Amino acid sequence: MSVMIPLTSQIAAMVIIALIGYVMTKTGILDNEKGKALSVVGLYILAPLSVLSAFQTERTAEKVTSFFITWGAALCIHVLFLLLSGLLAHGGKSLTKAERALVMFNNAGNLIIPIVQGAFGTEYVFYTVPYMLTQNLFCWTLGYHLINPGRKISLRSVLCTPMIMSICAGLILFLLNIRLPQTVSTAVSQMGACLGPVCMLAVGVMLAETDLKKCFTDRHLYFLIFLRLIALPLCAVAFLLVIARFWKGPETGMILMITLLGSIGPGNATITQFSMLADHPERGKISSFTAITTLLSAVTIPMIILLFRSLST
Amino acid sequence: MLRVDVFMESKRRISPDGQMRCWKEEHYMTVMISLIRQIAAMVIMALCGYVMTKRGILDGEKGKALSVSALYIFAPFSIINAFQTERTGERVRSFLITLAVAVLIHILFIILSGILSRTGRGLTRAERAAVMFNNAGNLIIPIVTGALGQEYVFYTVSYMLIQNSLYWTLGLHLIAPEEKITPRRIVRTPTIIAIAFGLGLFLANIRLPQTAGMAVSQMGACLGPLSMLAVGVMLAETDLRACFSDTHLYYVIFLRLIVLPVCAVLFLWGVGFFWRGAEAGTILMVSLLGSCGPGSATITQFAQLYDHPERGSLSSYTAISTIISAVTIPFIILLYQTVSFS
Repeated sequence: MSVMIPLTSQIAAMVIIALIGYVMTKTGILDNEKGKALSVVGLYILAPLSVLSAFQTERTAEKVTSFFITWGAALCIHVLFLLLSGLLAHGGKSLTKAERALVMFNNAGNLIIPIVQGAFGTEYVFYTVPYMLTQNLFCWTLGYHLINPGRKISLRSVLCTPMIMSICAGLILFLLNIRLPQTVSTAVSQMGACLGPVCMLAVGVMLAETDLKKCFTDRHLYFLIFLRLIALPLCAVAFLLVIARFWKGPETGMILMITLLGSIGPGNATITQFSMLADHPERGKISSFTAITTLLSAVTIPMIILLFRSLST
Repeated sequence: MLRVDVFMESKRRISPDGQMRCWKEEHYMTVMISLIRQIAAMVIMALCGYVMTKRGILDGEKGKALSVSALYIFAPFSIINAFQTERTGERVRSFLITLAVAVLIHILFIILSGILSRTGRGLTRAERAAVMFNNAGNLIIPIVTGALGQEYVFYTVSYMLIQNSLYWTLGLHLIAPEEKITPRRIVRTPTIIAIAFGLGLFLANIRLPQTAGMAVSQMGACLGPLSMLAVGVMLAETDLRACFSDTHLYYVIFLRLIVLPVCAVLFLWGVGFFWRGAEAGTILMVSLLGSCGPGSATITQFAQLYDHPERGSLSSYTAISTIISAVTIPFIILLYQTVSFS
């Protein structure tokens, strides 16, 4: 229970920030253009720096082991989601390619780091990295392909994303056990701490620009939201419960919970940005999906975590 | 750093009342180190913004979006956060003293800049505004938070309150003489609204509920990094070579970063004779930090808003003085410590 309270209040605080962004947009202080500037700053500057700062921790054998186990778990979860969304795309209410991307990926980077930072402390942000690393690799290859089916993906464009570069730099520093000089690390960690508020303000702007009334009447959208926030997370819970059977370390529960947090977040901002950059015909739906799931996730994330905790103990 | 060491050594030798003074010096030593470290960290953030602009990820438009959100959203929230502290008689008294000090420093600066504009090299009206006001809001809160701790941010508010009221009266008048000044204008600025709201909560001794408090403090913590990113963008968009060859700009920077701060040091040294509270030294240092910052972003924005002919040189003045202040602010603080604790 002790984990649930900070988790819930951190998520609620982030919803409040999104509402502030909403109000600021409605009163004309922020607008779409400024919201985009905020999300570019979040995606290209603050998120990479917060990952870099997550890696600035002492290297212990235990941490290295946990890191690779969670990496394996993250890969398996992605493959699982890939298969499930593939199955869903063909059966029942079929999904378009863009919708597949939406359901498969979530906003691990922008939301999970601030949640873990605020609720559990900076030292646990480290364990969010394996999931984010995997998701970023998938996002910039498969995700990009699903949104831009015609275009070719070059290895260079994947490796040159700020996120991947900062993960590489951070991982190398971590494995060599090198710490940044204190002044630099102060700058990096203070900038990294802005990630949550800045992204949530951008979400608020997005919400204010969305025709909410129209969204809430779209039944297919509810189905997508259900898949993203309930169905896939439940599969991830089942999978992680199996892992918890086999892997018993001192902090296993906590670390697996962070991996779970990585997989149950709301719609992915990167996919939304891809669709905006590509002028994708479904971009309106995609951005409202992202905004609405962010709000709803404030309720679903604590429920999924509660479920995981009660089943795993 | 060597200077500080030498200063401390000489102090230890001559100090008559051993223990207490030694502790004080240790304390100020750590304050100096964390002050320099925090300012250096902020310079690194500005460099980050500079590099990102040069690499094409940020641009002037995005930099403006950052400074608007810093000015209208993050700064007000950091002020409200500063007021979220317990109300004690001591704090209220110190707050009122710093308020009086801030009023007097501003009067001093207004008189000095008036004299300077008539003598020597002379100053234009816009330069007078640039010299008189500084970037207390965007820079001092993060510096005080990082170097002295969250509990002292409270005392930055009194300087900001006075400076903000003057921005929208005297500052606006100096930049745009034709513009009418109305009380409504002053009252409706986000900073003043935040100060009124925060002060109300403080005087009523009301704390925000935990969740809202978290949201406010996390938002407030973004002020420094985002302002510095915006400064970096501004630097990248400035023709630095042209600026560095403009000798008049050096003169204005010299007035803003050295002359007026030294006058403020002397004034606060005088105040220190009359006010001897437990934390008087540190609290007056916060007031000093408020008065020795670099060029004000608000004045630059006024100039841009009203298409002032000197807006180009004002924005490069703000950017360059920010970088130079990384050296002058610790130096001024050191000077203050030397005169007030000897």
